[in-house]
Amino acid sequence: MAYIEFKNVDKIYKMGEVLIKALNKASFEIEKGELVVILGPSGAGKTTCLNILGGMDSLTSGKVIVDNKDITNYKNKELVMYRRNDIGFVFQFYNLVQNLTALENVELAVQLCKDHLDPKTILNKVGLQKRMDNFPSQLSGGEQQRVAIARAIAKNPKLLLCDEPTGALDYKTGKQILKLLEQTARKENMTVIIITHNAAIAPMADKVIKFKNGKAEDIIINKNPKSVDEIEW
Amino acid sequence: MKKNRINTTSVREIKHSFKRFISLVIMSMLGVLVFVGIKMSAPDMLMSLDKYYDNKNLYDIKMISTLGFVDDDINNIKALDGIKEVYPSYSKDVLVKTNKQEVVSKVISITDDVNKIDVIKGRMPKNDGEIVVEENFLKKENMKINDKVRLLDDNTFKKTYLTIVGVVKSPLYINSDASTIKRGNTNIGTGKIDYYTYVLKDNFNIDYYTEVYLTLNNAKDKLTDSKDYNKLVNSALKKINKVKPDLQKRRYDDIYNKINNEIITNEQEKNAQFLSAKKELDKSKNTLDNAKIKLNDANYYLSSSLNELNLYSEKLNASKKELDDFKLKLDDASNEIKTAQSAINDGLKPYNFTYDDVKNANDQLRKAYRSIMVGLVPKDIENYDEVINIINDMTDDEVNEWMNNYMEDSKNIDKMIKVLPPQSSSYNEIVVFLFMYKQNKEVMKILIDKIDEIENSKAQYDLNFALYNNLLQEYNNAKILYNNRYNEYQNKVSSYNNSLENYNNNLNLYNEKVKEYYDSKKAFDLQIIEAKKKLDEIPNPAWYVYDRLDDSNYASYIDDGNSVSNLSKVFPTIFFIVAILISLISMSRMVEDDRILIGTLKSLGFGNKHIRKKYLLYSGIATFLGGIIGACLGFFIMPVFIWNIYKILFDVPSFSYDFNPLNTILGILISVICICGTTLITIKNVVKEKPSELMRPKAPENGKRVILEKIPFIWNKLKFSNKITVRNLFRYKKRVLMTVGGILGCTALMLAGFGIRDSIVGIPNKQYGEIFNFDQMVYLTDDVSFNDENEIFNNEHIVKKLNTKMDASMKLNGYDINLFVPEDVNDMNGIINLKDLKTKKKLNLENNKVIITDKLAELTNKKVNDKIKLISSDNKTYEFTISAISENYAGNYVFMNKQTYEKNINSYATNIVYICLDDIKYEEKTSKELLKNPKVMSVISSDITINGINDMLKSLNSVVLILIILSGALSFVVLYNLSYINISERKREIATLKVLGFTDKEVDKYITKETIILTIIGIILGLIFGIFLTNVIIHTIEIKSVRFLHNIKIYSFVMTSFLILSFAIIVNKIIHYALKKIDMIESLKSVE
Repeated sequence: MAYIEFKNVDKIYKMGEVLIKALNKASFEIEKGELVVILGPSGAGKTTCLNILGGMDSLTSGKVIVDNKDITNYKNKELVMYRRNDIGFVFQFYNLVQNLTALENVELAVQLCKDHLDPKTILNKVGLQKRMDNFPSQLSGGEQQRVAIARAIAKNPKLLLCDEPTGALDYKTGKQILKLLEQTARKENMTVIIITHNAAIAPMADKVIKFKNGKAEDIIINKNPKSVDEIEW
Repeated sequence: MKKNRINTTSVREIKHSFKRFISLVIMSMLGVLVFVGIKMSAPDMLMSLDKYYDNKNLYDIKMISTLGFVDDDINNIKALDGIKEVYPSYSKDVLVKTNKQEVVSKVISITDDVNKIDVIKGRMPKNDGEIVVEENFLKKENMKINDKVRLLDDNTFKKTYLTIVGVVKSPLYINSDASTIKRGNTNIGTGKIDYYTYVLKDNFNIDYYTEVYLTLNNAKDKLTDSKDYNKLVNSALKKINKVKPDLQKRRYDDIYNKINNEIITNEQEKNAQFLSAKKELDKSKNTLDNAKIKLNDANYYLSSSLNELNLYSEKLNASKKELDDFKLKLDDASNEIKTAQSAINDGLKPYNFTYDDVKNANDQLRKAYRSIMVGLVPKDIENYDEVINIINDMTDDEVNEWMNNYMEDSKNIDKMIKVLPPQSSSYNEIVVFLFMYKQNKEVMKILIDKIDEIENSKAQYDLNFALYNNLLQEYNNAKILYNNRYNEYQNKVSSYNNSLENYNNNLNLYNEKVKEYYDSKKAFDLQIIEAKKKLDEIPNPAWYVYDRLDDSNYASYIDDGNSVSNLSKVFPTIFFIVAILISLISMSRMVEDDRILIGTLKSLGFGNKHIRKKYLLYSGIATFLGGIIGACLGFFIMPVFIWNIYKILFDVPSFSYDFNPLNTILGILISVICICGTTLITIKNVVKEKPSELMRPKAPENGKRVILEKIPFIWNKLKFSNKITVRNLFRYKKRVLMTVGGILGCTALMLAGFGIRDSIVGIPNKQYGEIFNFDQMVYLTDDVSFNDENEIFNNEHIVKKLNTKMDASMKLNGYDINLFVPEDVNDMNGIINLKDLKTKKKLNLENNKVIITDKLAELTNKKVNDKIKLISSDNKTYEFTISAISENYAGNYVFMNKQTYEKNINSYATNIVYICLDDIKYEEKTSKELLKNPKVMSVISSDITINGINDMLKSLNSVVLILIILSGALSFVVLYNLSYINISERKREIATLKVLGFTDKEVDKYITKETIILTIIGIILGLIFGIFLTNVIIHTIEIKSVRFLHNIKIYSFVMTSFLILSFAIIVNKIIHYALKKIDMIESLKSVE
């Protein structure tokens, strides 16, 4: 059985009288330690998929299993604990707490879970050993995203979810961030899922899931993923 | 028509952000409500009073004269310019005897056209014997209509036994029943008038009017106490004061002449009476003198008779003594005879013979001597015849001698026996005797001598005895004569005594009459002197010309109105400030939220004007709507509410609105200007920016290190979430300041509300628990002697008492004062405690100096060692130096000791006695016992006094309660608003936290911690500011006769903090749902 199973998931939003089908029998599987890129145009359902995987949203029907745990019918409280212990999240706009230093931002996340990693070590790993005591406003976008990644990894999650992590960054910095994510997946054997509309990134992934109209239309498995350095866009 | 879509967005925005809109509406509403409500209350109260006064045609000016008014005065006043009508009237302060006790009432004459009274129950009097009373009279005196009362004043009224026929309400007295402000002061009874009553004019038996009421032209059109009205009254007062001296003088002359004439006629009449009385007295004096001479003569005669009688009595006594001596001698002789006889008898016993036998025999023998001699003559002798003749011619003595010689020879005895004729009597005895004689001649001879001797004595005795009897008879006759004369004398003496007594009685009578005559003459002379002196003492008549403000009822009504309107100076300001702060936050948040929209609009080509318009329209609609609602509530409801509260104190029948829109418009205007102004300020910074800048998200506030971090000792110990809280507090400085400011304002307002309550509520206990500490106050009549007093207060339950003279008729600088004179300052201990306000040290009364209470000192602006002038009701002035100022809360007192009072003002007479009981449960019993004594007028327990003051303060207290409630409402809205803005500003942060796996509780804690800390800071600062605010407000609303405690209770601090914190917690609970609703997906979105 795969590490993550996404089986026939439907997600229907009700907007007043109108029903919007965000996911329509979406199904895919992800193995542990895989670096997955989810591709698709906006409105294809990739963010909904991420939300459901991240325990931020519930599904209408289908089944989601993470590490042998069926999270399909998790209640609110279970979802909170799931987010707390199993998920690391990297946002497009970093979502750092502005009045906490880099280190403190990591510590904020770490204080929640028992089985966490040392914040300073993680910050060292993401190359921010010298900027640990800076506030987000004193950091560049790339640095902020590193802090965000550090914050997510420090929790030692089962799953690292990244929503357009390079969306707000320039090319060079974006590459650096992708590099960091790649390293995390390869070295730490972390399952990393990156959501993007940038198809150029796809070659670096072990698995590429293409979304269209609420469905995982195409699942490509890269036998030999390229290193980030080799990718250009 | 072209549609203005800017307006459309503004209106849509309202729907969109309804909560924000409503909070703006409520802010504006509260601000305007409090402003308009409090501002309008006083004018409405005044308007109501004015309507009532106009309705009852109340006087504008009232005049009282110490000597009354006559028609001449009335006509002269009427002639003055500006005077509409003059209404002469009578009134008199009288002691009235009710069922229970004697009370003081102002008895007023009924007038139909001025100060019109309303009949509440029963009917108006129809004749002199009827009276109508105020409602309280029946209630408190426990009487009914048709009960009778007695006016204790026979001089002023034709009829004094009056039947109560109705209950009336007089516009002259607007205090309600519950109010303890009495019906004014007087110089009788307790010095305070208890009730007003009305009788017909006809029942007054006075030849002058006691007061005159004036109405002025055009005064009715003007609002009472308004500037115009006061101007009108003042100009009339000026005119009256101009003619016053002249009319006063005229009145004086009239009275002087009248009294002077009376005195002169009286003097002449009386002098004639005295003259005739004197003549009569002289006549009686003559009669008495004559009687005296006669009495003296009689007395002389009586004493000489008494002398004679005494002499006579002496003689009688001497004769009596002689007689008694004589009798004694006689008795002795008789005894001697008897002794001799018995001795002889004893000797004769052997012969069986007694003395009588012997004597008898001897006598018989002697008688027989001649015949024996004859017998012895021998017949045979020739000359026998001759011898017989010779014998017969012999005397008895010769015979006896012969016989004795013859018997010397015993032989002859026998011869004798032979010749003894046997037929002679006692023959046998003689024979025996002769035999005995023959045998014992010598003894017999002695015996016979002895018998003879005895017989002689006997004869002598008998003679003497006869003599004695004669003398005795003579004496007795004399004695009887004496007695007769003595009785006669006694009769004369008693008749003399009667005459003497009679005389003395007449003399006494005469003397009395003389004394009476001189006494009455002296009294009359004194009376004349007195009357003449009084003539000199006729005071120059003083006219007192009063306007309505001189009436303490009216003044306190105005004063209370001012208290409320003074509240409007501070309270609404704070309300507005808070409201402005909150709207500023709301609006700036709104503008921040709309950055992109503003940018879009600008890029579409809208000018700054349009953009401003959008937000002004939004805030304007909110403020205006709120303002209108608030104004309506404030205009129509709050004054009625406050009015109803004041009805406890004042009895003005109906409420009228003052439709002066100024304050209402002003209130709405302030609200609109303030809130729209803040909107403009917020927008100003935004519209300055370029559209491109606006389209980009505003850089979030930077995180900064705070000072606290430099103290690692503390910082490192803080938990993570606490660190965030601390940083946040320093990060959103503006919001923090405004939050703290808003809460500070609300806390201060609420504390002020509680503080004012404390200041008010504590007064009675402070006054009647600490300063005055007695159980009952006993009012005595004016004429209580030392003995009466001992009798009255000889009660087992009274443990302490203080005699005082209380005089409530004095004024100081126009303020009513109570002059308080303890009989013995040592008795004050524990009953009346005079203390220094600050040092709490006991104060002592010094000679010729006074202690005044501190409120009075403040009102009159006097300090220790200043001089004060007390003015009595008859306008006399007394000057004293202030020796100290004492702590006091209710009432204005001037204290002085007895010596000072007696030396400077009047003689001391106790009229109020403060008593302490051994146990308060005996209160009623003691009171009943005390009231049994007719010299006790009334007994008032300290509870009643406390309740009285409470009543007085109740209304203000309730107004304050309203303010507390409104402050509570304000603080609730403020807290809600602030919290709401807080989370709406930080939605993203919250969403992120949620994604990171924070539970709802943890998120709550993260957010509420800040609110709570800010609330606590706001509360602490608010409490501090509240103390200051309370002092300011109390200072503006203090009533004249009451010193508010500047003392906020711990309870109030606790309660205020508790309430605000509770609101904060309730608000947090509400916010909890808002937090829950925040979507995590929000965090994924780009910054809008």
